[in-house]
Amino acid sequence: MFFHLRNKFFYICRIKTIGYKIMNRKLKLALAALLGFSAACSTVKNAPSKGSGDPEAMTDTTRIDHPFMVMYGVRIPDAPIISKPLNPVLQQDSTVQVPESQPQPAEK
Amino acid sequence: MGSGCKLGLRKRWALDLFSNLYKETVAEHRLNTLFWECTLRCNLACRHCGSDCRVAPGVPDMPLADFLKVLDEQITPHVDPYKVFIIFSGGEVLVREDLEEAGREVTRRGYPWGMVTNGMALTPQRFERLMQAGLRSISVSLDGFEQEHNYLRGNPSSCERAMQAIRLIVQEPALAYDVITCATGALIPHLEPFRDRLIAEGVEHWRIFSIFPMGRARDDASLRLNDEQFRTLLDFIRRTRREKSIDVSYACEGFLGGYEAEVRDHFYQCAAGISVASIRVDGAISGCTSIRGNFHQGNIYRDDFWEVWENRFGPFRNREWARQGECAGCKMFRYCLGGGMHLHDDNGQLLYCHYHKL
Repeated sequence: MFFHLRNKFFYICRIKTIGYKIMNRKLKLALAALLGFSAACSTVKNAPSKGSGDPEAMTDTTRIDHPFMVMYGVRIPDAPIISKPLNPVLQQDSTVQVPESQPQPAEK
Repeated sequence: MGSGCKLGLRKRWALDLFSNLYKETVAEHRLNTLFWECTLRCNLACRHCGSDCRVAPGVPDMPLADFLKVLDEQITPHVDPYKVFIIFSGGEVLVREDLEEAGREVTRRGYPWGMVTNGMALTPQRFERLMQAGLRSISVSLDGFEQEHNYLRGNPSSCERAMQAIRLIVQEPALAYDVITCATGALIPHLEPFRDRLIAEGVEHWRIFSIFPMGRARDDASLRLNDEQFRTLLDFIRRTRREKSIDVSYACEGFLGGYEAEVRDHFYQCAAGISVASIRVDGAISGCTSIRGNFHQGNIYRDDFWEVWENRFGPFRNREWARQGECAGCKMFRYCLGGGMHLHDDNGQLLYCHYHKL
């Protein structure tokens, strides 16, 4: 009985701790929005936080949410990305022979 | 310091919040952008090339199979491919005849991909093949009107070729794109007509960089903006964004003080080694491809990429080492963390500070 209550107590504390952390992050984002800088904080808003669970299962249309553009990078598409290669060309077998062992750098 | 340095209280509070939130992003360091520097060959020899690329750079292209092996065995087991954007970079990626094959292989594995190009070799046929291979995003370089662009690129037909490439990409609804411009002092007086020219060509997204002293640009001070030109550029971007005539932004580099969140969609951050990694042409594993070539954390021909990403990117994720020189006593360090990784020399000294230019 004691151990059952103890374990239950620790479980509740852990749930509250995780909840506090999540709420704390949400509170910070809400404050940023109140200040008018929700968009400016969007790169961290979309970043997953610890304990958020497994990533969503891959579906036929999956959106990528990381709008931050690196200097010599490219814009991230706005439209949902179709994860399955529907183009018939992509259905063909690969023609690239991937080495089985550690590859060696090409000779100059 | 100029007026651009002044941070209002509201923005300062927001920056403090962002900095706090960003620490979680750093702790998580979830990879979402992977550069593959697939070649250092180039069909141009631009004056401002930070990678010193040329027709025959003396470094062979990385075989596609080698990159795919790392992808399959060392990266894919740890990520959701559709959440990692692969960017083919160079050099000029279109010089690789197997670029479409690379795109198909990456797409087959579930990764979205994009590329940066000078447009010289982007014919309608090549563009169609790249779209068929799964191209999702592209950036085309155009550094001004014909005189400015061709001077920087060292080729009299480079501007026209870049324009032709732009006319192709703006018509493709399934493609994310932008035009990227390296602004020199020569362009500053012509920013508004150049903007209008881009709008007339149907360009909706535009990014403007300033040239940093690396590679061939290292010793050419004429390529860099002086303080007044830099402020003029930021004022132009801020004004144009308010007008909403075109989606224009300054590049990701540099903490911009009072211009923060007004010339970009986000607060300043250097994502190198936080969410961005690179596999360079010789196999070196690093953060962003803008970082100097001798600063790397491992090599795919010797190390496991994921082990390197998890355990050897300390300098990217804890930037206290950058608190030296002009950064040592700077109150803005808590926002900028010493600036972009690419702006430090071999001794960790900052090459220049955007904030102090304001």
